[in-house]
Amino acid sequence: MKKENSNKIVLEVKSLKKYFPIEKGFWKKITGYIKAVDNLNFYIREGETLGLVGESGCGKTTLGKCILRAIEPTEGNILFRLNGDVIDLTKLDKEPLRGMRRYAQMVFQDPYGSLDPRMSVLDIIGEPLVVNKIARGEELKKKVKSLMEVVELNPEYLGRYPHAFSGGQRQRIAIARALAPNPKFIVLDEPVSALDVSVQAQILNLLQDLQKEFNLTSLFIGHDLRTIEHISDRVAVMYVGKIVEMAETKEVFLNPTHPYTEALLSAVPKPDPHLKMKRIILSGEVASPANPPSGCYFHPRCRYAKEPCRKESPKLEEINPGHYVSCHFAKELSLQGIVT
Amino acid sequence: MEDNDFLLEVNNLKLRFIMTEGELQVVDGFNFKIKKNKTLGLAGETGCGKSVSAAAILRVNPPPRILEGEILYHQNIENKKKNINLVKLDEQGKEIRDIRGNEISMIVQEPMLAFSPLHTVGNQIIEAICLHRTPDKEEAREIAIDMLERVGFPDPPKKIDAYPWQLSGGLCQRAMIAMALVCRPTLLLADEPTTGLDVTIQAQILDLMKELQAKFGMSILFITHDLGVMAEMVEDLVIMYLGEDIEYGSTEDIFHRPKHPYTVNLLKSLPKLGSKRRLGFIKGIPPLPWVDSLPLGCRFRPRCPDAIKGVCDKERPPAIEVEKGHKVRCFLYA
Repeated sequence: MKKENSNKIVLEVKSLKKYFPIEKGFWKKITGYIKAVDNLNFYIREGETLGLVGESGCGKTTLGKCILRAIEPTEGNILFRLNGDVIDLTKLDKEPLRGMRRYAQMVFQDPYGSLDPRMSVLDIIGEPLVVNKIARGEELKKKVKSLMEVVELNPEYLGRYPHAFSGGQRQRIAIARALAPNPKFIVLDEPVSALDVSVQAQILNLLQDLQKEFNLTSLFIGHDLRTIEHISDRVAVMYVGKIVEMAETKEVFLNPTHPYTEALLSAVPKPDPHLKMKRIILSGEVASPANPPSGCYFHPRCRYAKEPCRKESPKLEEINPGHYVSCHFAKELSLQGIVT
Repeated sequence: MEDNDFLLEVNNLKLRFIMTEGELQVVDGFNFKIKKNKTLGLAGETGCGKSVSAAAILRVNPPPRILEGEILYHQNIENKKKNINLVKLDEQGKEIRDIRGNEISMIVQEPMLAFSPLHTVGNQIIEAICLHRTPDKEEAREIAIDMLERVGFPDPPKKIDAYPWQLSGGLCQRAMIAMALVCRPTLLLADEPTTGLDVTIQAQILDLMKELQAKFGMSILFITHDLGVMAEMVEDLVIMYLGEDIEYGSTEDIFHRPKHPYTVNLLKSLPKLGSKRRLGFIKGIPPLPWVDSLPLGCRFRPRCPDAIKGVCDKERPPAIEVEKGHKVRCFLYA
C-alpha cells in the first residue's frame, strides 16, 4: 500500500486475519470459519484519528482487540513505530508484549462493565502507572489527580467507587486510565455509544481536545456515522470482515465510491425535517461472516450489482490519491454523498 | 381544533414509584395529545419518564406506584363512540385487557427481550389474535402469516415457527411489529423501536412503519432520544424533561425555531453530518426525581444557562403559546 509521509506512520496493519473456527458435534469437528477480520491492510499516521465504521458483525470490535493482541490474530502483521524503531506486535513474546502495552491503550464501549467495581478511582487510573513502574505513593496520587483534571473530573472523587458515577463520568475515568501511561496509540471502541446525546457531546469534545493536546494517534471504532465524521481525520468502512472504502473523512462523506458507503450515508437520520431526501433502502439482512455470499460480499444487497460481482471478490484499490475502495465498478459509478 | 380530531389526550399525568429508598415522582404533570392517523414524537433523554408514560397508557407500570391524572381515550368501535379515562380503569380488569394489544398496542426497544424465549414467534402472534379476533387457531395462523408477509418477514409459512432467539435483531423487530399490528390497533406506542438496530436495518423498519401507518390508518406515539429519527418520522413532537412536557410543536417549529433552553442546547449537541463545529452541551446531568429533593420552581433551572434569578426558582413555568400550535414552558417567554 503506497503511503504519503511514510516516516510518520505509527501503526501499520498488514494482511490481518482473524478466523474463528465453527465446531460442530461431539468431536468438535471444524466445519467452517467465521472470517471476522478478513485480510485487512491499513495505516494510521501520527496524531491522526482513523474512524472505523460498520454495522453488526462487520468485525470492527474484533479488529480493535486484535491490534492490541487482546485476542490473537490468526495471521498478519501489526507494525508499531516507537521511538524510531518498528516493532511487529505479532512477533512479541508475553513479557515484551506486556511492556509494549503501556504505549498502546484501549477504551471500551461499556462504561459499566469496563471498570472494576471493587477498585476506587485512584486504583483504576493508577493501575497502569503502578504496573509499568511509572509512579507510586504520593507521586502516583499527584499524577492521578492531574489526569482527573484533564478529563474534567473533580479530583476530590479519588476515593470513590465506580457505582457512584454516571455513564459519562465512568467513560472519563476509562479515558484517564488509558491516558495514564502516556500512550502513543489508543483504540476507542464505541466509547460514546452507550451515552445520552448531551453527554456524548461532552465526551466527544473532550476527545477532540485530548487529540490536539497530546497529539494522540487513535483508532475510533463506531457504528454512528455522525460521531465518526465528527472525530475522525480518515474513515475506513467495514463490511463483513473487509474494508470496502477508506479515505479522508470529507472524501468518504462527500464523494463515496462504494455502494455500501452510499447506502450507509443515506440511512443516517438527519435532524432536519427539510432534508427529506430520497433514501436508499437496502434490502435483506447484513451478510453473515459465517456464511458470506459468493464474490463481493455486498452483491446481494447492492443496487448496482452485475455478473462479475457474483463471481469475483473485488480487491481494495486506490481510486484517487489516498482514496481506497473495493468495488468492480467504482470508476464507473457516480454515487450520492451527504448533502450539506 | 375539534375534539374529534384527537385520539388520545393526556392531562396532568402523574406517576410516582414507591421504593424502599424513597419515592420517585417520575411523571409530574405531563400533558400531550395524539391526533388521529398522525404520529406524535415523544423526545427526551434517559430517565425523563417517556417509557413509563407509554406504559401508563396501557396501565402496565409495575406496582407499587401511584398514578394520577387523565388519559382520555376517544374510543370509536363501529361508530359507537365512548370517552374512556384509562387511568380510572382497573388495570387487571376486562375493559383495559380488551384494549391492550387490540386497540392500543406497543412495540419496544429490545425485540428479543419482548418475546418469550420459550415460545415461537408464531405462537405469540397467534395468541394475540385468539384473544381479540378469533378463537379459531387455523384462521389465526393464516392471519399471522399474512401480517408477517406485510411486514417483510422472509418466508412466513416456515419462519413463523422460529423462536425469537433464532432471529436477527431486524427480523425480531419485524415480528414484534406484526404482533402489535395484527389486531389493527388505532394507536401504536413505539418505544425506541429502532434504537440498537443497525442503521441500514433501522432505515428499513422506519420505512415499513410509515407504509403500514398509511395503509392501516393508525396513530403512532413514537418515543426516541434520537432527534434525527424524530425529524424523519413524526409530524409533531413533545419534548420531555424530568416528568414534564417542556415544549411542544411541529417538527418544523421544534427543529427550526426551538424555544426552550433545553431544546435549543440539545439540538446544538447533535453532531451533524457535514459540519465539524464544536458540539454544544448541557452542563450536569438530570437528577433523579426523588420526591423530597425536587428543585423549587422550574425543573430545568439548575442546568439552565438562561435562568432568571428570582423568577425561575420560585414557580413552575406555565405553558405559553409562542406561535400557533407551538407551546413552551419557560419564563423567558412569559
